[in-house]
Parts: sequence; structure tokens; C-alpha cells
Amino acid sequence: MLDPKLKDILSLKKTVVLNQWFDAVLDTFPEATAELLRKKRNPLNDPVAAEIFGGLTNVLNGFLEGPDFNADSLVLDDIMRVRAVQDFTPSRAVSFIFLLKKVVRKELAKDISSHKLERAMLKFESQIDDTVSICFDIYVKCREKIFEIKANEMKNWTYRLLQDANKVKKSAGK
Amino acid sequence: MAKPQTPKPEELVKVDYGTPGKSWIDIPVEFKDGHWCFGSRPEFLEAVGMPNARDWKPDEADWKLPDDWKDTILQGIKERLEKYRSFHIFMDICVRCGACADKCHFYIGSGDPKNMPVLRAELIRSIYRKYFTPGGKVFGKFAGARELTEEVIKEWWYYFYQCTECRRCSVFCPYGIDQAEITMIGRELLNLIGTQTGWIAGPVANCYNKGNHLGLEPHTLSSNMEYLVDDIEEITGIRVEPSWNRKGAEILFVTPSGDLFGDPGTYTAMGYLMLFHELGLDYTWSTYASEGGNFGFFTSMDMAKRLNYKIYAEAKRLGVKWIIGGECGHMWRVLHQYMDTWNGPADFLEEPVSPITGTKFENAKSTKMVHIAEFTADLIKHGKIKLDPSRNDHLNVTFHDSCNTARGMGMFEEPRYIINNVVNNFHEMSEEESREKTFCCGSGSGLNAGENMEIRMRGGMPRANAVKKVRDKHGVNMLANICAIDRATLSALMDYWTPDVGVCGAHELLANALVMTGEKKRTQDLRLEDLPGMEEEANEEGDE
Repeated sequence: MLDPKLKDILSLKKTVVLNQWFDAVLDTFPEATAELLRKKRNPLNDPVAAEIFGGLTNVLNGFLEGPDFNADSLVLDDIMRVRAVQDFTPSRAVSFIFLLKKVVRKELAKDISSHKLERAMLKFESQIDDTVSICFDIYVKCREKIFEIKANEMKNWTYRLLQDANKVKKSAGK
Repeated sequence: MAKPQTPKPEELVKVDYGTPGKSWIDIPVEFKDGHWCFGSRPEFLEAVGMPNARDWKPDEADWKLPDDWKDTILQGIKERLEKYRSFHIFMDICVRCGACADKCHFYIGSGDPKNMPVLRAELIRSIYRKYFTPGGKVFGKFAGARELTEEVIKEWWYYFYQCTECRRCSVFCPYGIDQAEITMIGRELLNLIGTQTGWIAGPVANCYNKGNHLGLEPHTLSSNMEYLVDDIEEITGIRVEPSWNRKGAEILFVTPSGDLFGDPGTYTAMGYLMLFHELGLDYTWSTYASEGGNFGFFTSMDMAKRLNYKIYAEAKRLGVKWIIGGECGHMWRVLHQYMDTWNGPADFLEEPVSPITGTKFENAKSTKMVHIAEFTADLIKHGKIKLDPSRNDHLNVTFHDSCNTARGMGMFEEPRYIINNVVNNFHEMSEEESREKTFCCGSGSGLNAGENMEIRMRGGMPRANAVKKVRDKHGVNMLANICAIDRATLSALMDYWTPDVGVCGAHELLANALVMTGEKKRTQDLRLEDLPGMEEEANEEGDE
């Protein structure tokens, strides 16, 4: 759980932190794409940007309000599902979470020193690191899903033919 | 020695191929895995006499193009500018207003600027300007013109096979520029030099040789249908008896072959079998016209015409009076917009009249081919079939308008009318995401391969998002549609984005609700899954 004081300050600056985090995440896309994603967050015309912004909002809320993230956390699943089919290497796909550290350090710099929150901040950063591990698990799950879909699709397309082949095999074995 | 600098996280995650401030013309195409389909095998092209049949790989530098490829392409453009007035106009009139940009599912799912319809069209326009307009010849790049090089061919190939010809962009274009037609021409040109995908060329060759996409022979078709007949008997206690190649039948039935072999399409095919049996319809299946789909349509107009020919030829050979076509997307775009002028007039057939209701299908007066949704909706309207929608009560259904039937032929109401009569729980997706503004499945026009799964998932994301909304709001758990490719590909899409939503055809829902004469008490749906509530009741009855 987040230190109560750090939580209060972070809650007050939530909008600024969120917007800066969103901008930092968009910078991980190719520049031409990032420019376009930055323009809109309309779920209809730009579901990628909307999904990412919504995902980041939910993740930040999760850090603030709990419960702690785990592999079944839907808020992480939503955003990772998008990242898993974009042009990212696995490390880049999960690295967006790390960017929160820099944004928080920058925006809360004065508060951290004036309220002596250095230790609380380190703890929060460890929590972010743990979340990256969970994101990686979800990323792998999504990639496995893609390959499972490929395999299932081939099976489904020819299901009745396979059924026929099995029948032949059974008769031959009799 | 200087201490190596550890990169900061934000440096690590930055993608290094950003190209700030450059014109799209200067950004070379980069083949990324998961975005493209494998190249055609030589035997597929040889089977139908297509040029430049050879082994090649799209991600290798040498595409083994013929020596005169450039002349062939330029001559190809010239011929099409003269032949298709629409193509010539589309090359000239775009004002780059951008209305189409964020309407393309591939663009909004991927953010790749070259997936904006306007820019996809520019890929050809830039060549048109250079070689066919005075301004482009003189001012070159300043007039948006560029040289035709092998790199351009690769870029065309990469992006014209990332367009599903869905035509959503054309709905929003103030000039009505039809990007689907530009993509079609682009693919035609690519086929002049033998650059087709294997996923399209294979079904084309199979269809030409054996009549259907999988290349199945008559005995395989008929023996496989027996499995569907067995399942129907298990569910209803009734053995339906479909006929094949029966001369003198009143009606020829043509549907995509995929529905006979692939789940969940097979349940829709079972729906047809059950409905026609209940009506006592005098109809026949054909092993020759065993494919409603037409991957020739994703190759060239000539190839589409050649593959389409068998439908009328078979109708003539069997001496039927008219034709019913099953649930399919691009099959219907071909039938509705092209078949009559390609291979008609079908003056040996009669104007379709439903033998059950007496309704004259005047809209099919010329083609003599009626959409199954029109046929069935008419039956329901006249109260000719008995339905028990409560058998679908475990389903909460929404409807996906398939691009080709919705935008290609304006069919919106008939499938909805059927569904609303056979289910009790139906919820529409938003107006912005359905009917003529429907989002594509992301896998149409021959892009439903396995190797390009990432781009399919991205392109289908807007569709999945819309489904997610009705799932979260209304508890929708079934996505109905009237397209065979949709049934296959939306299943994959839902599996990834909204795993708790199934996919089915309208006639699967209909057959679940259809009360057949002499049937046993239904305890299972067409998927052989227990009908909630019904099976307990049956056990209780059995206990007594």
C-alpha cells in the first residue's frame, strides 16, 4: 500500500501526472503514429489512444486505491492486450510502467523533499517494478493467445474434414 | 576510458525508426512480421494461367519480377484509366480533406499513417501523376509525383493487402471516392507481375480446378454433409435428406463451402438444412457450384468473372428455375453488383417466386438469385414457420453488419427481422458502429490468413471495441452475422479481445428456434450443447 501522505499528494496531482505519463507512453510509438494518437482520445475514432489513456488511468487509480495488482488484474490486462499486438519487443511493450517513476519524481520533486517522502517513494518505485513483472506475465499470456488462435483457427476451418479423417483411422484400426 | 552510460528507461523504450518531418514519399516501407501474408506458390498461378509463376518470398530483397515489369504496370494503369471512369476520377479529385483518415479500421487500430485511405490511394496517385499528368511529369515530387521503382511495388503490396475493401471510408468521403476500387485496381496491377498472396491464389486455383476453396471433390462434400445430417438427427430426431446435383429441382442453393467444414459456420449450414427440410423445399446442392465465395474478386475482375461463371452454368445444366444464396459477404457483393453483367443475362431462369408464400422477389428479377435472409424474412412475415425464441434465451445477441452486405448491397433490415423473431434478447451496437457505418472484421478480402494475425487483431479492434461496449452494458454474449468469413474471423477476434462473446450465423439462431414437424423435445442446441432449463425438464419427464 502507498504511504498515506504520498497518496494524498499524488491524488491531488493525478491529472497532471496522468497526462504526462500518457505523453511519455505515446513517445514509445513511432513518431508519426504518436503524433496522430496525441490528437484524439475518442474511443470511436481512436480506440488505441482511448484504450491506453483509460488503461493508464485505471493503473494509476489501482496504485492509489488498491487492491494490489496480480496476474488477473483486468486494468493491466486491458492495456497489455493492446500493447501485445502493436509493434513492440516484449521489453518495450511492458516498459511503459517504468515511465511513471520519472513522471512522479518530476512532478512531486518538491513534495518528496519537503515531506521527507524519499523512503515512501522508493517503496512506491518497487511496487512499480513488481507491476512490470505482472505486465510481462500478461504480455506472454496475450502472445500465447495469438498463437493459440492461429492453431485453433486452422482446426476450426477444417473441423469436419478432421472428423472424417479420424473416422477413417478408427475403421483402419479395427 | 569513459564510463559507459546506462540508458534511461525513456531512452530504452523510444523507437529509433521515427522519421520526423519527412514526407510519406521518403519513408521506405518496412516489412514487419504479422503484417503480411506469404507469397503465392508457383503452382497456384500456373493453375489459372497467371503470369510470373515462381517461388518468391515477400521479405526477401529480390522479388524475381519479370524484366518488363515496369512497362507492364504502366500499361496496366493506362488500360484501367481508359476502361474505368471511376478509377480515373478517383485519381484526380481527392482534396485531402482527411475525412476518411480516422474511419479506416486498419489506421485506427495500427496508427500507421499509410493505412489512412487517403494515403493508401496516394500510393497509386503518385505514380499516376508522374506518368499520366503534365504537372507530375514537369514538377515531379513538388506535384506529389514519384518514379515507379521496385520499392513502390513492395509498398503497394504491403498496403493493398492491409485494406479489406470494406468501403467504410467511402461513406465519409465528400466525393464518394471508393478506396475499395482503388485497392482492387492496385491488386489487379500487382497480379500482372505475379505478386499475389498464397492465401488468395490457393483458393483461386482450387476453385478453378475443383469448384471450391479447399479443393474438395464431390464425394468429400457429400460425405462431410452426412456429419451435419447426423447431428441434426441427434438434436431433433429428424433425418433430413439433402440432394446433390439433382436435375429438375426448382431451386439451386449456393453457399460458401467454408460453412460445410468449419465451425461455427457448420451450425449455420445445419440451419439451412433444417429450414429447407421443414419447408419441403424442392432444392439441390451442387458439387460443381460448391463455392459461393470468390477469391478471384481479390485478384482481378477477370478472375472473379471466370470463377463466378459456374453458378449460372450449373443452374442451366440442372435446369433449375432460380437460385438461393446462403449467408456470405463478398459472395453477395459479387452476385449483387457484377454477376449479371459478367455472366448474364440468366434468361434461362425464371423470376424468383417463393413457393411457400408466393412472394415475387422483384429485386432479383434480373440476377434470379435471392439472398437467404430475404427468403427467410419473407417466410416469417407470412407466418409460414413456427418459432420458439425461448430456446435462445440463454443468448444475448448483437448483430454485426458485414461490410459487403451492408455497404455493398444495402441489406440492413432482413437479418435483423429474422434475429428479432428468433431471440428474445437483442441489443444493437451504436449507430456510429453499425449499418452503413459498420466496422469491418479486419480480415476480409482474402486477409484471413494466420501469418498476418497481428494486423488482423489490430484491424478488428474497433469492431471488438463496439462489441465490448454492448457486452459491458447489456451482457451480450453472442455476435450474430450473415457472412462466412465473419463467422471464422470474428471468432478469432472475439477470442482475443472479448473472450466471453461467441459468434454465430443468423440461420443458426433461426434453426435453434425452429419448431419442426415431428421433432423430439429439444434439449440441445445446434452445437450439441445442453439448452439451459430444457435438459432438466427432459430428465424430470424421463424420471416419471
